[in-house]
Amino acid sequence: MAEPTPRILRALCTICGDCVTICPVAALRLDREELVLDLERCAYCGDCEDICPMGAIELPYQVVIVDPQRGPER
Amino acid sequence: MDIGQFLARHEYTRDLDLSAMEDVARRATVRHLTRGEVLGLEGERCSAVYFVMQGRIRSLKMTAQGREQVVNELRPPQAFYLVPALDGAPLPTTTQAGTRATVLSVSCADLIELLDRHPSMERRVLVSMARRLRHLADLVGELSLHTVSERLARLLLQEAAEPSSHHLTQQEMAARLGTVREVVARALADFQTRGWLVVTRGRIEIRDAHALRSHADRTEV
Repeated sequence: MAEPTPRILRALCTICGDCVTICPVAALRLDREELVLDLERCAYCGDCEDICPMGAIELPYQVVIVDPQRGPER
Repeated sequence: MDIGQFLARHEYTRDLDLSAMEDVARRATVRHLTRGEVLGLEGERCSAVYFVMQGRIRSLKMTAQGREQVVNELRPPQAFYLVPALDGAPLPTTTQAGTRATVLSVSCADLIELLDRHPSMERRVLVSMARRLRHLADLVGELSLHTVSERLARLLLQEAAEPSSHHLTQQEMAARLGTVREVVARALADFQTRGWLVVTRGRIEIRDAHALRSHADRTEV
């Protein structure tokens, strides 16, 4: 199963740019009035989720049980 | 969103007639806050009640060690400082804008007068506070048996056992546990230090389910 990726809720985003400013790895940018996320750069630190005044960015986590000898159970 | 639109949707005021709504709006002031801006300090006298229109407000308490700890995060359309406005006691927490934010403020004196003049608003505030009291009573009951750390362990095991297309954020985990994201992050870091799990990008890999389950099943007596 693919890892979750950050969710940008476009209906809530007001393009304020706070997330772009706070991102420590410059993974976010504004491109023609739209927020763009560079997944390769993203460190999943959660700073953008914390600072967004509209709750428009979510960083979900998939929880799995991993047996060190056998690998993931799902 | 302007004051009128906000009041027309808020649970305390949406059923008011036009003149009552105008009475509330006349006494309300919109404040735009920058991130970090403080609204009230723990221990101070209450001067106003606030309603969150946009952004997030952090509620902080001073620990015995003199550190400030986030105890709650308030989002639209939550109201805060209602209790000190009503009982006249000092502010129970410091509140600070966690993001850029907009709040509606009503002075304590105006709030009391509004509740006196508009019984339907008073009733809605009472019902809301009764609901909050019930939630807190349930939480106290749960916390008296299990710490946040133990309940997080149980939640993680449940999430791992029940496949779902909706993966929780740390914020959602915190909301389920009646705490804040910072506490969840610290508990996860603690579990990782103990070797029970590893937190990576978008994944929490439980490496020692047995230890996590033992921790989840501990009961404080």
